[in-house]
Amino acid sequence: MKKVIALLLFLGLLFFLGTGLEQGLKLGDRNTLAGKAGEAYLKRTVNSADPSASPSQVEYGSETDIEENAANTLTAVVVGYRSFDTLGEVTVLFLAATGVMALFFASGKKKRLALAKPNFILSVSSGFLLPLIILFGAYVFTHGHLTPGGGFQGGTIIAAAVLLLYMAGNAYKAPATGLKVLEGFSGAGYLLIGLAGLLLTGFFLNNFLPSGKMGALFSAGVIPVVYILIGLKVSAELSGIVSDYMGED
Amino acid sequence: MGHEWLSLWSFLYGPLSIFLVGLYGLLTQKNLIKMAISINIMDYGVNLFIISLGYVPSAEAPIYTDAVKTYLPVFADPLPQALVLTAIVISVAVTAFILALTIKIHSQYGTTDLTKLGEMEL
Amino acid sequence: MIMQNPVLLIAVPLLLAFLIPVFSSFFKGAVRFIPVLAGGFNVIAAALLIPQASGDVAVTEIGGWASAYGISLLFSSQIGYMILAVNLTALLAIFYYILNERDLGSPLAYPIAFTLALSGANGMIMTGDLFNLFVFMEMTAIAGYIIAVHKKGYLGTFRFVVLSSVGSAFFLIATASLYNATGFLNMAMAGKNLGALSTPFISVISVLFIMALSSEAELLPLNGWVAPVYRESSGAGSVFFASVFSGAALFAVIKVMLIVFGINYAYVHQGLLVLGLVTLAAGEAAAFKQSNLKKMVAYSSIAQSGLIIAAVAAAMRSGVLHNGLFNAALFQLINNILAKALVLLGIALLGQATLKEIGGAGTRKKWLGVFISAGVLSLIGMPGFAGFWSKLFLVRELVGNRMFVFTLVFLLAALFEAYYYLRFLQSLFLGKSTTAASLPKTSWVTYILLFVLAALIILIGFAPDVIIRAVSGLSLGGVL
Repeated sequence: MKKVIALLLFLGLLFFLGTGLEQGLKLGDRNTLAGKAGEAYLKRTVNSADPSASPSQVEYGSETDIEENAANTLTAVVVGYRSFDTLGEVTVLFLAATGVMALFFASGKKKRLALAKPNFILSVSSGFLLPLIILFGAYVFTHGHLTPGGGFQGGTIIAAAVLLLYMAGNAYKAPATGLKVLEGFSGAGYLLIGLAGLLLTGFFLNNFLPSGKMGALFSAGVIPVVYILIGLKVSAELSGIVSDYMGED
Repeated sequence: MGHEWLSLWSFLYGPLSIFLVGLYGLLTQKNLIKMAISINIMDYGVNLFIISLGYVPSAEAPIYTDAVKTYLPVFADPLPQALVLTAIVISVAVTAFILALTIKIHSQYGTTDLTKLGEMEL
Repeated sequence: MIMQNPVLLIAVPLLLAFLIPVFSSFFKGAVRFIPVLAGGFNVIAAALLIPQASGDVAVTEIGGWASAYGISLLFSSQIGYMILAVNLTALLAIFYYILNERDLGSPLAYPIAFTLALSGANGMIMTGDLFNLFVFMEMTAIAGYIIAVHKKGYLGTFRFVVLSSVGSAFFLIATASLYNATGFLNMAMAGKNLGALSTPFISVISVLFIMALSSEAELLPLNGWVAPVYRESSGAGSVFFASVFSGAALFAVIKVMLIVFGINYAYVHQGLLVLGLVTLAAGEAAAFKQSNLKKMVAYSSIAQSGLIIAAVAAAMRSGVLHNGLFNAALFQLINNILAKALVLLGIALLGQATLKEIGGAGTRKKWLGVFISAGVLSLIGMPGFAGFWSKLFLVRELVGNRMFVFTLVFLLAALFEAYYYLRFLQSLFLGKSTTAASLPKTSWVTYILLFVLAALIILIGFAPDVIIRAVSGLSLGGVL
């Protein structure tokens, strides 16, 4: 009976949402960027008088003084134009890690989760793979302004290395306090960059570093710095969650 | 005509169906783990929906490279992609929390079945 | 100049919260005072910002990007008073936590959750960007999950997590669709471009937004978590749910309705009005049947959310903004925040769960009885207390605008409310206790917290025109 009601709800909502949204959305081939916020982000003309009409100043590889100099427009949006959202997002992850910690706090005797005994290949290759994974993660978050990737992706890759260590042997134990302190420091660092922007330029989270040549590793002002902090923070948070789940304090 | 239908299905009704499958799961499943999975399915549907709203015909990824040096109207919309990045991270956070909560419920009540838990709650 | 930026109301608590893990490795015991620091800063900063703000909304751009494209915060004197009320009750709740509940659960997690709850609530109240509102909504929601498990109420929290996940999925669908159709995430710009779209699209979007915010604003349909979470939460936690989160979420609903949809879509506001009235009726009926005190207040809180939303919708539905009705709704919202906090802290101090168990407790702990009575009488709308004026203004405006059905539902609901709250007072002072358990001791410092809230309620009761002038008319001047 309950399933029938749920099925009716499914069909009803699909009809209601589908037919309603169909009327307003520009889907597939009808979608254009003209006049949208996304177009202004791509052209880097957000602060010009008429963002959709003014010509774009972007030129890859040259040293022009444009709004956000990250070659990856997605990064320019995530850590530049909409950096405040990302600050909130980092905070949400921090809260979730704190919540997991609160749930597993003082649950009597802490016993490590019993995993299957690792096989020979896993335990040997983990030591060999570990530095490579960490290096790859660091590469992904330091190049977030140039290529696909960034702090969240790189941080997740590094946390995967910690998970690998847990799976490969019983000896490893993540330094829980150290991770929490690293989380706090990198989060506070992000905020201090924002506050420095407020003090130096009058706007919270505004860029105050030289923006360099588009496409170069040292370019795009504070974006790489922020992404490195996010990378450290995300890797510490996700590793902390993994070690909380593994249940050893 | 057929083309139009395909585009509606893949950009609107398909993602919405995945979202509603998750909602259906939330309404019908009794097991807390399965409910957590349903929430994840729901989030995937929503993320797919947002990404498909940023689709622009025959567009490139919104990254300037040696091949695309200046702005040309050939890029996909970067904003929905940025929104999805945020939405994914938030859904990871919620999933981590809800699974930890399920572990605690199991260790306190000895079951993850909602009907049995409902009897204990009252 | 720089220090007058409203972004500090969000940034300073965030910074302090990130520093909590760092501090805890040096000074373990001092960590619990950090939320006090954050709350105190916010109360002082809001009090300093209010005199400089005008009735018109001022836009603060974040990162220096034009507000249509970047993220912006909205601030006006009305928003300032809202922030002041929310942060003040939160600060008192945090003091209550330090004095009475600090031994519950992890000593690191709860200070972090309280501090970030402040940031999230302020963000929800101030932000002018739809997706930014989603991020702050999630921030308060997850802080809320942590606060809800404070006393191991796992099952209620699970329900909360599920319902607010559904809500946030709805919110994302609505926001992304609105971006695709209008090209902007900024509320004012999206609202401006909404005019070109068809009625079915706008109604779907509005339904999605209301459903999405209904979880935290305690409105139907996603408010099934409220009663179990209140029942199992700590004293400080229940104040956070009743005053901080629901206050911020209600204000966010009002803001989205006002800025995105404006006054041009009568059918949207008509729907919202019906939803609000149904929530009001259902909440009062459920509260009427409750003998568990916290659940009673929980359902009463749901009913009040319904009332406020219904009044706001009624004020916007006829194509012009009825300022009087709108202000009365905001006044009721602020009164409700203060009085609910007082009553919930009082109930937590009684330490008993049901109406029967508290029998006669008010005569044994006289001061506690007095403070609870002040809160309850304000909620009922007794003359001399703050609640009287907001209810009087509401009735006057409703009758003045010839909304007789609404007036009837409102008066009936007020009658029900008066009945069950007076039943509570009767049991508190005249009843006989069924349990032999002695009441827990309360320190005089805790009484100061209750005194502050009671004094505010009585002060507003004597000089209601100060507040009504303060909350008068959210003007759209600076936004559009």
